[in-house]
Amino acid sequence: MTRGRTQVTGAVLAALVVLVGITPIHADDIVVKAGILYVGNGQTISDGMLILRDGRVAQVGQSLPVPKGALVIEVILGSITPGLIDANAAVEADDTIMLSSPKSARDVLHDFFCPRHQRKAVMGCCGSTCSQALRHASGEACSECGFPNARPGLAVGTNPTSILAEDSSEVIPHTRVIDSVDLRAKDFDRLLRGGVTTVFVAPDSAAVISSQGAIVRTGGAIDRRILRETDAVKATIGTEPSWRGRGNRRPWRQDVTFKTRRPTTRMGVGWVFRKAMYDSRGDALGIPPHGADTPSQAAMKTLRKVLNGEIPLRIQARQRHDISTACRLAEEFSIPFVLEEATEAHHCIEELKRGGVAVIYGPIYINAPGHRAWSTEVAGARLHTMKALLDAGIDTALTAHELRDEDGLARQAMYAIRFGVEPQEVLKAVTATPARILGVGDELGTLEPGKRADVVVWSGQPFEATSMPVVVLIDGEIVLDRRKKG
Amino acid sequence: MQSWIRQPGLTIICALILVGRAWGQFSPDMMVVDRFLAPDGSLQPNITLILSQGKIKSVRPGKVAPAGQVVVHHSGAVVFPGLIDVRSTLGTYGATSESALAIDPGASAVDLVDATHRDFRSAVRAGVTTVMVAPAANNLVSGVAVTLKTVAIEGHDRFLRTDGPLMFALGSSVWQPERAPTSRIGSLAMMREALEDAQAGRGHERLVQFMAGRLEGVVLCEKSQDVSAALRTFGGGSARISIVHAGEMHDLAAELRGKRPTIVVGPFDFETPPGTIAFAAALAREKVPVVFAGGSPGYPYDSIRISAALAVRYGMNPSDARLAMTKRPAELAGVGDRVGALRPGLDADLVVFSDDPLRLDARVLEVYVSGVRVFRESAAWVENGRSMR
Repeated sequence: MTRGRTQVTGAVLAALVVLVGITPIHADDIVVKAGILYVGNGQTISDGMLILRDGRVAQVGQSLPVPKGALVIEVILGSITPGLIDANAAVEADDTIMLSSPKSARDVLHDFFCPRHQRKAVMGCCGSTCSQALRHASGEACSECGFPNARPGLAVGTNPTSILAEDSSEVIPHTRVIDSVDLRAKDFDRLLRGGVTTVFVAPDSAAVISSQGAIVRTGGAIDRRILRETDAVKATIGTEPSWRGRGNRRPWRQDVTFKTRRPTTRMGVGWVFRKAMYDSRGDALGIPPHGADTPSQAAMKTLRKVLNGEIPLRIQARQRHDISTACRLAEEFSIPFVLEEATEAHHCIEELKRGGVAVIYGPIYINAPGHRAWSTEVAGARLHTMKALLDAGIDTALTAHELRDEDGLARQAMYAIRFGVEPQEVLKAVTATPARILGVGDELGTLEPGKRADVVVWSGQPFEATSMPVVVLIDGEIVLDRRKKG
Repeated sequence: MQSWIRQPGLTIICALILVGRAWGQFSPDMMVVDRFLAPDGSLQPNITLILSQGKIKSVRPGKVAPAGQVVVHHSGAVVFPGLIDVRSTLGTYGATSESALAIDPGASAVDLVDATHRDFRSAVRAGVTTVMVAPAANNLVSGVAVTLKTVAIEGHDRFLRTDGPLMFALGSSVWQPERAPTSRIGSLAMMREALEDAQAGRGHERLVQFMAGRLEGVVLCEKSQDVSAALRTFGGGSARISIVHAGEMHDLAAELRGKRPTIVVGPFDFETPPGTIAFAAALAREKVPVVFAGGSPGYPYDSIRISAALAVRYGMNPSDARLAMTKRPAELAGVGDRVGALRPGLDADLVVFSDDPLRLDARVLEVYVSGVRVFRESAAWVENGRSMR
């Protein structure tokens, strides 16, 4: 850490960035200066500066007196924004063998199937047990991890079917995503490099009612990264629970297993959702649930908290009839919810407004990235949906979901600007709005005094194609510093 | 010349019978040695061990040898308590866990072990006198481990403990395609539910005892994140756990701060990344009790010593490394009042090394179990590297 050094010499970045001075180790305060400061609440300060103290924002303004002994970070032609927040990040569950190994996929598979490594033979190339291991072996396309057609680092790394989702039931709200999150995974570094400082780790869409998500920081000390161990429960309306929840359809010429169950259609998805909710309610009233697909006691206990409003609910829906179904279900059980993905939300503006639904929209695309490409739910994607939602006054956050680096959240914001959204509005959609939706709005999302010092210093204007995060601070601690490398 | 003398097979059989008789008989009253393992893990000079009825009766400083007693003198040698392997599968065949139930606390590893398996003798030759055998890590709760000596001595119970510790596992080996859990989140959710039930007094007696702090647990972890999950799930309350983490290592010191369960590492070999080994050394510096796993018979019988030597090579204090082969594993297995140190009242399970066992060129000269000599290095062994079998 730069602060931990007595002296840093020769810290110079290209022509744009000039380091004014770095002071000794005992500096408690950090001063961040740049050509323009976006506070995040709509306020813009040219030649603005921030004073950070004890991990919080102490002062915001123009030409404030620099405290004695403070560490000064200055990027003259750059800009300052709050740390970006992705309210629906699909984080690689753990560094799977595919990604962390320098070997080719085929070599990895050889290891799995050669007699010396037989103990691991049940593992697929997605790094976990895979019922299609033989397909992997013969090089046939695997419908679970996409091998060998999977796009490295994207479909494989983010395919959580076998990792993030528990296959033993369609209703698993008692499980917690945090249990499968490797805080040391390289995915968090990639998010950080894109200026994202806080993420809601999204549960998987393979189950109708999936796990509880978690809110974590992307950098800093490991033991301080978890902001909220359990958060909203995610449900999915659409086709994903039937085709991604593996083996819901009875395998051809194979035995019926505990995975042979509904849903196999959209109707089935709605039915499982409804039955789970009614079972949980009924169970509390002493009516024992019966019949197929009965949720476990632990699941019903969590669902009752969802019904009471103690745990927030999110519903992923892409097509307009799925969004309508989500609204209908929420009305039926009178649960407020947050809509995720919302690919065709521009058709449902009135419905969403009526229900007071907040939306976490994204990513913006023409050719669908990731596993949604196979979902048959993406043909209706439009580039102006974000603008339509914001213009209608719907609380909308932008997410990059599984996209990283050059496709990451900053780039999604750029697309939003390109397709009609005001830059200030976009900034809110990746900072203040997601913070509010996540319920951490009083701690994160803007650079107002008293809030946590999550700061991104950009080399130019934020979200411009030529800009990149130069310095990122989380809780007033420098977690990314590109000035050194130049 | 008589024809039977020319029969090498017969000669060897006769020799073996003689050796076998000698094994069964020789049990000294005293042992006078140059160096020994002190309770703090250091090597101290000149000691006399007085043995009686298979136990260490007393430990006297200096070299005292009264007349009329059977005394063993070893000049230059180092006497250690017998080494202990807590990750052994000696004496087992095939699968060592049931796959029907993910939570199976009723299983006992004592039912797995064939105590007459010949591999036990190989362990003895490496100075390993006690092993803990546990069911495989294929279930969240896979039953209780068994701790036994590698040699049966007449008149002494070979099984030190048959009812613990209770073994838990996290990681991909637990996820089975045809029964719950199938994933990491599923396994943690199931584990939490089972522990909550046990806390409330429901479920299997062993789990209830574990939650009440009356039966200790050992959690087998595959990755660092499993260790984090274990600390989150088992932390707090009165449950006592040790953690086995042989996989990839990251800096867990921050998470382990203030919690300090025993951590079992290894076995390390010469291909283990230095960072992984250095981590074990860092843990010991943080005062976390460390144990080296041996992994016999899947790994070489000398694995414990190789691991310890490499750990010292990458920064572990030699005293910590010596305790990690003897006292700490005995405590982990819950048999610290029987074996693992040179202390009056403990079993006379002794290994005589030609030098500090952290030196890989140190040889095992003799092994005693319950005061009876069960191995003695032969000239043939030294010269030709041949087995005495």
